[in-house]
Amino acid sequence: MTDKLSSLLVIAVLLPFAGALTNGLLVRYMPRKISGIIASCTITFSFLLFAVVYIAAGNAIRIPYVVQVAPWLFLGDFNAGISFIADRLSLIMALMVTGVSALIHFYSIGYMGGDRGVNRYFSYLNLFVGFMLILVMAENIVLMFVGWEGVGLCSYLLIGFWFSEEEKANAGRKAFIVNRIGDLAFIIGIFLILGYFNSASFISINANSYKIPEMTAFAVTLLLFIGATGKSAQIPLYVWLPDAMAGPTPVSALIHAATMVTAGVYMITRLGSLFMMSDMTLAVIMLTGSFTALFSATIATTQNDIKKILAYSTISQLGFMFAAAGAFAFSAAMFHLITHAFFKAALFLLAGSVIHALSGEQDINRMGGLERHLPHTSLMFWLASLTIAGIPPFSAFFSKDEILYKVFINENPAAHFAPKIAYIMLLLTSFMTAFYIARLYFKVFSGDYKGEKHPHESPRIMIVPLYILTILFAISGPFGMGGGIAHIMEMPAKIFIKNIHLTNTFQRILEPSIASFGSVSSDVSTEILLIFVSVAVAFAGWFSGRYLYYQQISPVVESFNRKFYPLHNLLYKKYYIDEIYEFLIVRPYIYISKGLYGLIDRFIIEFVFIGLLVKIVYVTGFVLRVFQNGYLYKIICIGITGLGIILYFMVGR
Amino acid sequence: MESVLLTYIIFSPVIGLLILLFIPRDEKVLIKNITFILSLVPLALSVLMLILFDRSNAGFQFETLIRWIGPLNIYYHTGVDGISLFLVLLTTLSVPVVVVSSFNYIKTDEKLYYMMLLFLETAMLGTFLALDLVLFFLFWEAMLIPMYFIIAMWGGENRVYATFKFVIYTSVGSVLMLIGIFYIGNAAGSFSVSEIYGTNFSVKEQLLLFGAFFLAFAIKVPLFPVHTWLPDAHVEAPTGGSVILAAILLKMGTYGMLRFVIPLFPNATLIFAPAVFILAVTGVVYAAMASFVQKDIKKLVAYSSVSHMGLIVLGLFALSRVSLSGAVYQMISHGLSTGTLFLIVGILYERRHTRLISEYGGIASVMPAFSVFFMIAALTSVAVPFTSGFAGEFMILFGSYSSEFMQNSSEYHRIFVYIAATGMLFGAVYMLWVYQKVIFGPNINPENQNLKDLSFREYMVLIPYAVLMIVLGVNTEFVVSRVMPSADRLIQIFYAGLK
Repeated sequence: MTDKLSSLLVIAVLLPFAGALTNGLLVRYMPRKISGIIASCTITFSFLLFAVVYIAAGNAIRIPYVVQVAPWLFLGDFNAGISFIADRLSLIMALMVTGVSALIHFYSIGYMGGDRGVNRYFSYLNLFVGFMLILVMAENIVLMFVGWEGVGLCSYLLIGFWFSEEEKANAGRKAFIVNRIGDLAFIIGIFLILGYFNSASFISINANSYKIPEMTAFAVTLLLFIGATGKSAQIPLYVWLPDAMAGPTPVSALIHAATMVTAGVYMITRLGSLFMMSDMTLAVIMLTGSFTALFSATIATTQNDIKKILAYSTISQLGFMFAAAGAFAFSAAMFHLITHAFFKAALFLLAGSVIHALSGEQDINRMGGLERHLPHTSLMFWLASLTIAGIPPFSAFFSKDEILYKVFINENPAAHFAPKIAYIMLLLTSFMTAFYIARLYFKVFSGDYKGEKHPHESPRIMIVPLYILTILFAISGPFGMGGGIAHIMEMPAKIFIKNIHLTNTFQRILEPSIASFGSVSSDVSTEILLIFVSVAVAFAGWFSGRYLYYQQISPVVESFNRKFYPLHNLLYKKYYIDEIYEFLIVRPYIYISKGLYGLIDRFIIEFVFIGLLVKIVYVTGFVLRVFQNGYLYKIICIGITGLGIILYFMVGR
Repeated sequence: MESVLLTYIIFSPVIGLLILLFIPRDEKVLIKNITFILSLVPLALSVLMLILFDRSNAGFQFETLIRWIGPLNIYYHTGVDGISLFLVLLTTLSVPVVVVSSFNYIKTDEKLYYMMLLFLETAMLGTFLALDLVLFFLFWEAMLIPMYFIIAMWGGENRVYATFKFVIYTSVGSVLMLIGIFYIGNAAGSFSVSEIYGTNFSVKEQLLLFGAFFLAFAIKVPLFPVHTWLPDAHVEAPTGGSVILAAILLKMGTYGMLRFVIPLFPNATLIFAPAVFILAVTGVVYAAMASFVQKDIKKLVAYSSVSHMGLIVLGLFALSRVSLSGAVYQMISHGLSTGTLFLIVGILYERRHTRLISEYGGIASVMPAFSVFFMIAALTSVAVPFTSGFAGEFMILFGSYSSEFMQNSSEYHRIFVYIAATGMLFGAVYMLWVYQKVIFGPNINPENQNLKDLSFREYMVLIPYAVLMIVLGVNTEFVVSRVMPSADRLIQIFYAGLK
C-alpha cells in the first residue's frame, strides 16, 4: 500500500464526519432537500474510495497494513493511537457498511423528506456511519471501543429521534443503558488485555495470544463476549433491540439490522486468535448464539407489529452468526453477516415502504392484500422472504447452510455436546424462520386489505435502492458456497466445462486476515446430506406458513391458539423478559438508591452525626453561657467559689 | 531563575478590582463590561505562560522565591508545573465565562459581586501557584471570604443555612491543616516546598500530619462521607458561584492531595491508601445512586460531582503515571462538563425560576440549541469516547488497574477498579434520565411553551467549554505531554521519601 492509498483511506473514514458536521452546524439554515443529498453523497464517495483502495491495494492487503493518523491516549509504555488497519476483513466490512449505508441514505431522502427534523436526521445518520467506520477500521481495541460507543450514541439519538413522545425517548435511553452494561464488561476486558499484552494493537494481541494462560483467556474472551451481547443483541442483553424499533424505519434497517448490531461478530472475528485460546468461551458463544436464535424466532412467530417481527428475526439471525463464530467458522459468520446485511436491510426498507404506504400503520392484522397496491414492494418482499427462509438459490441459503455444516462438524474439547445441541437448535430455528416470514409475507400481501387507508407505491428514490439490494441478496450466495454445494453444482457444470472446480471465493479472499484452524477434513457426503435436510426444513417451514396464512388465517391457527393459550400467550408476551428485568433489576435499583440516600445522607450523616455535633456545641454553649451573663454579683459569686476551690486544693492538703 | 509572570497572573485580578472601585455603583453596564475585559487579562497572561511553558522540564517553572517573613522562614514562593498549569488555565478561562453568565442573573449590588469574583480569582490562582505552605494557606483561606459573600448575598432562600454549613465544614479542615503546617515548618525549618519535600518525618508523625491535611482536602473535594455540605451550597449559590465551586474550588482538594499529602507523607499514604480507595469507590457508586433520586437538577449535578471526584481521588492514590495524569485530566474535564451543567441549569432557572426536574419536559422543541450544549456536557459527564471525560476516566481506570503501587498496597486492588468502572454505567443512568425528563418528551407545561432559545451572550458563555470538551477528547497529547513529566516527578519524590 502506498501513502496515497492510505490518505484515501483516512479521507474515506473522515468524509461521513464532515457530512455530519456540515448538516449539524447548519441544521437551521440547510434547505431540507439539500441535506439528504449532501449526506448521501459523502457516504457514496466514501464507498467509492474504499472500493478504489481495495482494488488498487490488491494483494498488498493480504497482510494487515497499518495507517497511523495521530496519537491519542497515552497508557504508560504504549499508546492507543488513532490508527487504522487495512486488510481484507476490515475493507470488506467497510465496503458493506458504506455500500448499504449509501443505499439507505438515498432511500431516506424519500422516506424522511416530509419530516421537520430531516437535517438533524441526516446529520446523525452520517455521524453514525463515521463511528461505524472507526469501529471497523480501528487498529487497536481502544479505538474500536470509541467506534463501539460512538455507534451506540448515534443509535440512542436516532431511536429517540421523535423525542417528543416519551415512549420513544425511553426506548433510546434503554438502548444506551443496556449497551452500557455490555460496555462495562467490554472495558474491563480491555483492561485485562492491555494489562496482559502491554499493547492495544490487534496485530500484536493476535500475534501474542498463544502465550495467554487458559483462565485469563477465558476471562478476557468472556468479558468481550458479554460486551458483544449488548451491542449485538444476544441473550441476556437483547432487550433493547425490539424497543429500538421506535426509531425511523431506515434507521432500523441501517443500524439495527445491517451494521451496528453486527459489531460483536466483527469484533470476535477481529480477535479470532485470542478467542481461539479459550474453548470454554467458544462453547458459551456457540450455545448462547444458537439458543438466542431459537428463543427469538419463537417470539417472532406470534408478534403482530411488522417491525417487531423483523427485530426478533434480526436477533435470531445474529444468533446464527455467533453460533458460527463459536464454531470457529469466522468466514461463515462474516459471510452470513454480509448476506444478512443485504436481505435484512431490504426487509426493513420494504417494511418501511409498507408503513409509508399505509401512513404509519404497523399492525399486520390491519394489512393484507397489498400485493395489488404495491407491486414492486411485494415482489421484492417475496424474494427477501424466500431468501431469509433459506430457500435456494438465494444468498441466505448458502450462508446459513455453511453455518449449519460448520456447527455440525465442530468438535469442542470443552463441551462435546455443545455443537450437536447447537445444531439441533439452529435447525429448529431454520424451520421457524421460514414459518414466521411466510406468516408475515402472506398476512401482509395476500388476501384482502383490512385497513382504511389508501395504499400507494413508494417513490422511485425509495424503490431504486431497494432493487439494488434485491439484486445483491439474490445473487451474492454463490460467492460463499460451501464444499457440499460446490460438489453438487460441479456435476451439472461439468457438462459444459471440463475440469471445473468451484470453491468458496469469499473464504479464500478472507482467509489471510482471519484466524483459522487450517483445513478441516471435510466429509462431502455428510455435507450433502445436511444440505438436503436444511432445504427440506426451509420448505416445510415456508409451506406450513403458507398453508396457515395464505389469503386468510386458517381456522387451525385459531383453534391451536385457543388450545395452547398459555404457550401462545407466553410467546406473545415475549416470555415476560422485560417484566422480569423490571422486577429484578430496575425496581430494586430505584428502591435501593432511594433507601441508601435516605439512610446514609439524610439519617446517618445529617441527622445523627451532624445533629450530634450541633447538640454538643449547643450544650457546651448553654453551660458556658451561665458564666458569661454580665451580672456583677454572679461573676463575683463564681469568682469567690473558684477561689475557694483553689484554696481548698492548695491549703487543704 | 526569577520570573514575575506568575505574580502578574495572581494579582492582575486584584488590580482589576481596584480599578472597579473607582466606578460608580450605578453604572451597571459599564461595570459588567469592564469586569469582563479585566478578567481577560489573567487569561491572556496565563495563555502566555502556556506558550512559554517548557514541556521537557518536569519541575517548577517561572519560579519566584522571595524571603517574606525572615525569622520564620516564610517565603513568597510561586511556581508552576505541568499539573498546576492547566488548573490555572481552567481558572482564568472560567472567570470570564462566569462574569458573562452573571450579566442577567445578578441584579443587586453588581459592583460588589464582580469585585468578589475578582478577589476570588486571585485567591484561587494563588492557591494553585503557591509553593510555600503558609502562602498556600493564606490563599486557601482567602477563597472562603468571597465565596461566603457570593452565596450569602446572591444565593437562594436557604442561603444562610448553606453558607454556615459550607464555612464550618471548610474551617474544621483548615484548622487541622494549619496545625499541621506549623508542625512541618517547625520540623523542616522552612515552609517552602523546595525544602520540605524530602523532609524525613517518622511514620507516626506522618500518620498524624496525613490525617490533618487529608481531612482538610477531603472536605474540599468532597470525598464521601464529608460531602453533605456540597449539595446545599450548590443549591443555594447563584449560577456563577456554582460554576466556580464545581469547576475550580473542588479541584483545590485534589490538587492539595497531589501537591502536599502524597509527596510529603509517603509512608502514611501507603498505609492509608486502602482506606482512601474504599472511600473513593464508595463515593463513586453511592453518589451516583444518590444523584439518581434527586428532584432538584442542581442537587443532581452536585451529587454527580461527588461521584466523579471520588474517581479522581482513586486515580491520585493509585499513583501510577497514567492514573495520575488521568486524574489531572479528569479534573480539567470535570471542570468543563460540570461547569457547563451548572450554566445550563442557570439558563433554565433564569427563564423559569425553578430547578425542579418535574417542572420541565420537552424543552428540545423550544430550545434546540440549548439542548445540544446540554447533550455535550451530559455525554462528557458519562464519559462517551472522544469527549474529554472518556480520556480522563479511561486513564484513571486503566492506570489504577495496572498500578504497581495499588497492587502492593492492597491485595484485591482490582476490585476497586471494577467497582469504580460501574460509575460509567450508573452515571449514564442518572444523566440520561435527567436529560430525558428535561429535554425530551411532550412539552405540556404551558409555562415551557414559549421559552426563548439561547441568546448571543449565552452562546458565548457555553461555546468555550463545549469546544474544549470535544477538542480535549480527541487530542489528549497537548495536555498529557505536559502533565505526565510532572506526574512522573511526583511519583519519584514519593518513592524517594518512602521508608
